[in-house]
Amino acid sequence: MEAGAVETDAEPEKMATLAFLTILCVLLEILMHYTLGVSIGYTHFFYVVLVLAAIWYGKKAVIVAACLAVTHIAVAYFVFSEALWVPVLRAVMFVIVTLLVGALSEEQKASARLLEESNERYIGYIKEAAMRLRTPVEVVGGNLLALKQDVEEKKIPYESIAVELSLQAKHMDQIRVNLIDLNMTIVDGFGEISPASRQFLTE
Amino acid sequence: LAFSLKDAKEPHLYLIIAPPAELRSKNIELIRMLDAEGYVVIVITTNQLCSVLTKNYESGGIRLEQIWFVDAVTRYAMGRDPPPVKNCRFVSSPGNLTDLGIAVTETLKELSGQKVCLLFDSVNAMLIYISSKNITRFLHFVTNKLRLLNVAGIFLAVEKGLDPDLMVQLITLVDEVIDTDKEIRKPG
Repeated sequence: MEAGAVETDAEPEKMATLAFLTILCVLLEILMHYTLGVSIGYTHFFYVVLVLAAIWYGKKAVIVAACLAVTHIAVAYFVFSEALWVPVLRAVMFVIVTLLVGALSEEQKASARLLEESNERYIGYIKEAAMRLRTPVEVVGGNLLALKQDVEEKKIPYESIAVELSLQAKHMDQIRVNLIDLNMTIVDGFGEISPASRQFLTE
Repeated sequence: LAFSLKDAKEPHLYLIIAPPAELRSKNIELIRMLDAEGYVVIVITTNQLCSVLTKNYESGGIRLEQIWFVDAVTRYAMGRDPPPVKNCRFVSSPGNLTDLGIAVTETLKELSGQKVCLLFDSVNAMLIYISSKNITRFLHFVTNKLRLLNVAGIFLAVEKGLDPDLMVQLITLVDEVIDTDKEIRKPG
């Protein structure tokens, strides 16, 4: 999924909750606004629905805001038989608040995703580094034991002993290089390491 | 080692997992088995010197004419070109995958038409010089080549030293995995 994109998985529970709350808002609109003629107070409840929708679906929640806004303006028109600026202002606020919370929610989700990806990469690197340190040390240890056995049993030509020891020394040197590589990554990831410690870890 | 390449109708690729202390003896056991089955064996060694392997095989009663080596460690350990050895190609270092690939390709070409099996010893030793990603890529190249040429192949590894993700990658490259410690065989 691209950074900044909003989850598009069908989430039945969230969809059902939103549908239920939106219907409740429309019923409130009909009961309070149309039937009782009360045009303030109840609309605060709309923000619960709009904020929830914006948190879950990002800026796409503006669809819900638009529906409630149109309903609110339409009912106001039917009640007062004229276009008033107050319901329009409330409707505009529905849309603005939804877009604002939606944008913040998308940003937060994108950051969380980036952090998760970064953690995955870091864990992957640590796993690889651990394997490239542990396995080679085991390999060299095994080789040295085998060499000891060969020398004791006089199964290895004398000239091969020097080459074999030289090979194990080169293996160890490469392991040191791999370790420095790991240290450099750790140092780069933590800025507060002192210059002396940094030098010790990477040289 | 309770398996035989005779079982397979077509040349198979195997991943053999052995305990670290037994890797060396498994190498000799495998070579002896392959020799008995009439295979010419190409040993790619990334950990043991060709001269040491030769001695081990000789003392194990194995016919050396049937064994070819691609040795990635002797030249590297000596720091200069070793004296030429019959049926052996030296590669500059275990990390030089290009030269290693060329040596394998040339040896396979030289032995074309014969009953060949490649023995790779070992995946674990490669980790000193190459990342697991590049090891997988290289082994993918080798296994593809073996399949194209209808050549059998055996890859030796120590399970405990390998990351499970790498292990999964290796298993997908072969036809069968044999764990000598647990006496388990499973398809790749």
